[in-house]
Amino acid sequence: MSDHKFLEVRDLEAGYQLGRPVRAVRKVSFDLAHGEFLGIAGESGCGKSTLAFAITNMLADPGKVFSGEVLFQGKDLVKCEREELRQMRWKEFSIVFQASMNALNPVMKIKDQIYDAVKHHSSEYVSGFDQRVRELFDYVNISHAYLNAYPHQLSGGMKQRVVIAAALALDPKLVIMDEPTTALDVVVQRKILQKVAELREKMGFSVIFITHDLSLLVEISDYLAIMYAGRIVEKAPSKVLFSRPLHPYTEQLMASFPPLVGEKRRLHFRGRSPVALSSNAARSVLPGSAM
Amino acid sequence: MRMQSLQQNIQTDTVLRLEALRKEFTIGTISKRQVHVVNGIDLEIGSREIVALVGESGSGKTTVARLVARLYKPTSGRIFLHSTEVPKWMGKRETLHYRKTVQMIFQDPYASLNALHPVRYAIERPLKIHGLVGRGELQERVVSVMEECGLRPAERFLSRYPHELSGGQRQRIGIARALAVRPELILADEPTSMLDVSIRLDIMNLLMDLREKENISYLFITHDLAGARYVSDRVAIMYAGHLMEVGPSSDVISEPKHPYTQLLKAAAPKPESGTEPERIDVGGEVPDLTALPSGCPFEPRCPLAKAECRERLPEMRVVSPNHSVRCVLY
Repeated sequence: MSDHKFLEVRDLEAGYQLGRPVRAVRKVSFDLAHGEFLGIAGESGCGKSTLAFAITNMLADPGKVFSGEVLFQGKDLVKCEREELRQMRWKEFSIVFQASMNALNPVMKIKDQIYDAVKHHSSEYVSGFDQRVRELFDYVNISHAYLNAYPHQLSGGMKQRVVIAAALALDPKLVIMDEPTTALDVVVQRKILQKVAELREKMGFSVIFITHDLSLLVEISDYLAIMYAGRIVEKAPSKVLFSRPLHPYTEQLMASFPPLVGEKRRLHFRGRSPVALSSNAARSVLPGSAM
Repeated sequence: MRMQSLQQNIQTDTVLRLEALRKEFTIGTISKRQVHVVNGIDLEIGSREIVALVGESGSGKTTVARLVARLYKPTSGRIFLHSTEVPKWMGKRETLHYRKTVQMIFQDPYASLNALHPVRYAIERPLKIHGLVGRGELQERVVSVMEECGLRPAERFLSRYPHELSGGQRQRIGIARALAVRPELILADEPTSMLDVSIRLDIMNLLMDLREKENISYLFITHDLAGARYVSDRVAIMYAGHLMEVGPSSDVISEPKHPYTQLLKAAAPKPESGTEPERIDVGGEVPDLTALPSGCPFEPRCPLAKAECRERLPEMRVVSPNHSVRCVLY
């Protein structure tokens, strides 16, 4: 066992170079252990998607990492060369993008798209791919009949499961999921989350799950980090964060879910959304300080 | 038509009544098929009442709203506005009157605003079309309704374009547009699904406030059970074009009777429960609307299904005051 933690993000600063730099991710630091499930919650404009891309060093121009480190099993991904990253991606870590079901190539069979991903990153499973892809379909409960289907023949939930299966193709140790269940119905969403939990148990990978729907995360994550205007404002084990939020923004966020059970009463959310505050000048202003 | 409202215990008028409403679409070019989207809906909405229509994708709930908005014509069935049947074909004057009474708010706050015009345009248009204000008062009216919807000071927003506003702000413009003509019924089609969590509450609170102030009824369409419970007086659960359970929101959601409602509740995130998440073990996908079974459409996925469920669609039966369920178990 090496003395490096599985994933250490240290003072990461990332954003977009547009004339002057737009700092979407500001001094973000967190650790992730093997097999841990970290949920990152935040609303539009808080920088969570930029963070996901920054961690995997996939920010394309004008996006870039300004400073900081992403130590993945001791190696700084920020400083890695393209080729090194390509070798690592999909094998060591993979990413399920937001609305990736829409990113499936409509004129290619599902099976061929997964093959594409596998072949690009590794020679493993290239022979014996047929068996591997069937295995992957079994992981996510999709009938083998759909191997030769086209994306439009699958429902939204099925497409998303295909994308998740593709992300697991090379047995990565870390899977980053950016809003993987948005636009899916609540029953489908629940089934997918159950499936991810099952697979995590079975395969032992860590997860970073990014979403704006905090209510989902509380139940499935080990740890929760709340993002606001580019910063992580609070971080704690999920049950603790939910029952005893410390930061005013977290408190307000937790309080803005109409409960399904219990007393029915009027709720309010005070403060302004991060979008309104996304400027350098406003970076130190959080609704907490105004309350 | 009088209806006893359990919530307020006052006699209220029925604003909207749907009777055996059906909608089929025909698809295909050479071989045609029928998609049975709405399959016999009976529903009433009283004055100042908020009724939530809850269901997943493909349940037909948005189509119901579009039928009431007269964006589609029903295949069969009737719609009544204040006890007067809404005819299938209406002339210009009648249509205008209808649109002044029944307005709609859409799910996508960006797509529903004309990107080429400042947002004031969206609110000015209905006022002009319905001839509701003289030229001199137009700006005043627009400002007034925008501020009622939480856009203060309104002057700051008048000349902005939709892309310059946040999702929540755009949705407020959409609500202001519907409100401008002082409708009696607003059809809200998933008005918060595309908004951030913290904004949703504000929008739902706004709709509830407007109900109090302006005496508006709502048909609130959503797939979010918790949101439905928060905002509505009554809830109607829809599956494959049928209503499965209808009743007071607190009752239906705290003690759901229909197995499908129970599934929706089990699947919903419940962070406040503080326990391990409920596992749902229901397989199967939603039914193929071009080939609906003759029995209960939920039967293939129902953990409590019996043989008779496949033979015949159960009737809607009243199980307690104002609460009915479509299931053989009752």
